[in-house]
Amino acid sequence: MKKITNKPTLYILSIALFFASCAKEDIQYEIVEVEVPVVQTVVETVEVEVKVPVVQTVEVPYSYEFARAGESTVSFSGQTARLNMADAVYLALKSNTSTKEQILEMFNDGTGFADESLNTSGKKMGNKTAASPLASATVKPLFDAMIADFVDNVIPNWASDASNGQPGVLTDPTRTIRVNAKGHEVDQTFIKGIIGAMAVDQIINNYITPYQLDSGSRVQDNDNNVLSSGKNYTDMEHKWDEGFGYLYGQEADHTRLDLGTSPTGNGTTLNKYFKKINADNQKGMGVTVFNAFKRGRAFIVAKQYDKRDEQAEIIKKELSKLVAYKAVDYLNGYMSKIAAGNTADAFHALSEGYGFIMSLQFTNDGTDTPYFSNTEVNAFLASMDNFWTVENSTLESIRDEIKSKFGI
Amino acid sequence: MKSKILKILFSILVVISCSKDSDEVSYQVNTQTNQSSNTSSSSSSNTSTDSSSTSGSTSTDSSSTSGSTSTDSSSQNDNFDRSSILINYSENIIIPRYNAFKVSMDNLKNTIDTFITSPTVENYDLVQLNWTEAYKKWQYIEVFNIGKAEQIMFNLTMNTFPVSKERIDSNIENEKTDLTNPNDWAAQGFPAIDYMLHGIADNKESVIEIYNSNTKYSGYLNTLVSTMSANTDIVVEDWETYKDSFNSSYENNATSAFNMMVNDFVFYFEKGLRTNKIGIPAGRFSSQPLPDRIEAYYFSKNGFGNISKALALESRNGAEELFLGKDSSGNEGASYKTYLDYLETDIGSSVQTKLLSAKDAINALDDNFLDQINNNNTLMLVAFDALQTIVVNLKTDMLSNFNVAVDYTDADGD
Repeated sequence: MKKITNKPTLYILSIALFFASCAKEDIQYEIVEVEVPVVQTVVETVEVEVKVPVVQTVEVPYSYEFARAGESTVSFSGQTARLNMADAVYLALKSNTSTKEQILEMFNDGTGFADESLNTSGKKMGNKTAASPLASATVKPLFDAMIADFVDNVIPNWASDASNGQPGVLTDPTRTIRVNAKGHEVDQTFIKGIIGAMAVDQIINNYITPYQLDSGSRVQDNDNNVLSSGKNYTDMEHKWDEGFGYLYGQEADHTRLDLGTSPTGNGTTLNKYFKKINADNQKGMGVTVFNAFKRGRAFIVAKQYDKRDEQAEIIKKELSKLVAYKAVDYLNGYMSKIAAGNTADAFHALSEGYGFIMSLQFTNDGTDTPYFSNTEVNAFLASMDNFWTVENSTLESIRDEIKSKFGI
Repeated sequence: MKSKILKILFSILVVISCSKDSDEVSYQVNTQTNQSSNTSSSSSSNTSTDSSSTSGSTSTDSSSTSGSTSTDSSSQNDNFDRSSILINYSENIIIPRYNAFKVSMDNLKNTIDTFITSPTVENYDLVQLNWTEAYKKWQYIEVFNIGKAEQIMFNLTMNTFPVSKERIDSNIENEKTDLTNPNDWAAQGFPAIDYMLHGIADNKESVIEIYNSNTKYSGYLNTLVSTMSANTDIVVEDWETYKDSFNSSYENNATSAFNMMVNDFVFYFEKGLRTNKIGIPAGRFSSQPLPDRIEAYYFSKNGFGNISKALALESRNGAEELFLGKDSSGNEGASYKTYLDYLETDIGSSVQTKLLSAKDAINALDDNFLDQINNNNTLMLVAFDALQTIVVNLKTDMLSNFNVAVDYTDADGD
């Protein structure tokens, strides 16, 4: 090949090269932003909250003792007062010197008692009778009506012989009682009805339920250790103790270690039958209920509300069973006593049964539902209303329905 | 030699002038990459924030899951759009009801103005008719104790009963025109007009005679309706501007419109309807029934007529419509019921059914509550029971499902 050494050719070549390599410089460019997907590894941090079980120890005392800075936080004087009032009203319903105004004053106003401490307690029974959020408002007037019936019909016939439609006295070798026109011994129907309508209702349908324990700012206050005004307890602690008080309010010493195994059975209402059930129908109910009260209270202090409610459920079911046991016992008791020919003894038992059946509407199966509704109870009571004419078959069918419902 | 140098200079010139372009291109690419990485890191941090705010209680010491959680400044536990309820309520229920009420108040005022000018039987009858109509419309708005109504104590000035007869008589005598003092709550509003029409004498002719013979009575009647009318206008007008802040106030705290409104509803159902209209007169809160505590007492007492039952029915109806998010034409929108259904509870349906049972129980009562209480008070207590069971569902189940704290405590007493 001929060597390219010709000068003009070299010039032309270099100029061409110059233009070729720099041709770009003469063209206008705009800067355009182009999104170029570039694969990069990006670490995304996502915070996920995971429930981690943490073991928290809760101190449960052996006795029902709870304190703050060395001073007891447990108080239930109002409940003690009302239980004592119930005992006094019961006595008044056995005396032919009572007047309607006197008994109604004791029941509704909380005054007129021989015991002056009751008169100044500021408490009364009437507005705590069938008064829980779950109770029917139609029941409390029935107790007023029993008081009126006793004074208007039984007292004037204190010396008359009782018969169907005739209030008066009934006697047999075992006892002497006074009954109304239908054979009801009113002090019995009243006080056994009060066991359900006041004591049981206030505990299991009011004080140990969230309706009371969690109302207003009680949860918040308990969480933050905010105490009731002027007191050393939180509202929630106190409401629970008030429930406790309707069962143990007449114990001489509620802090004793054997409160669970050995309830005293004082008074005419709940604790009296609590002791009987614990000794007979369901041995051990005493400890079961006591432990549940104690643990529930400890869980309140530990701010464990779900655990608190688990203990409340135990109390609801057990105290409900108490009512059922006694209703069944007295229906059976009536039937054996009437068979034995002891009418007074039989009507006495049936009156107690009547009161406990009335109390069935205040039971609570743990879901804030009674085992028997107000309507069902009213039907039972209506079917057995006249003791002079009620058939055993009616009572057996009621008894069997109760046993079946409660599984007893 | 000269040509050689020229060639070299040429080449160098070429090289220098052509090298810049590629650097600019590479810079652009770098910028893009930086921006995209910023985007991805910011989106990941958003994600983590969202997850922490929607989880419920996670620490084990607040172990409550059944609704007994402390609700102070906690967020909603669910994704329901609470503002949809506020919007439906304000636009389709609250404001239309207030407008309808204002019309009835204007009518009442007009008829009273006419009666005062000329106290005749015909004019009296018109006042009485418009009083009953306005009183019925009132039953649909008493529940809204929020905003301006709360501020001016609207409820207390419009419907405190029983009245204080002594206070009214004294106000008449003193020709009082300023009723803002709390001691006058029991001397004004619908119950006071009831007294002025049906309580100052026990028959129509004697009542009208009093207006014809003593101008102080007309003066006070005028004061009463003017006060009611002026307060109504204040509340109605305020809703025009309050509506927007109401609709957007749905945070889960004690002062949000959502929380206050749902509390108002529960409180009104328990206190305004159940307790005031039925419970107290039937003696549920006392040793004996208290028949003189019924709503529209003098109307019944002196035999002019009876609307206590009608008012209770309207009140129940208003509560039912509000609960179901229903406007006056029957169209249903977002409501407490739809919220409860969204949360997959059966409380909404249960309350809906119980509201119907409550209607039956109230319907079973005598138009004249005085007769009902005196002849068979048990039916009043049965109606109470029917309302009470709803109160329990609203106060415990509904509020705990919404994770809203009750903002009022019952005075329980030991």
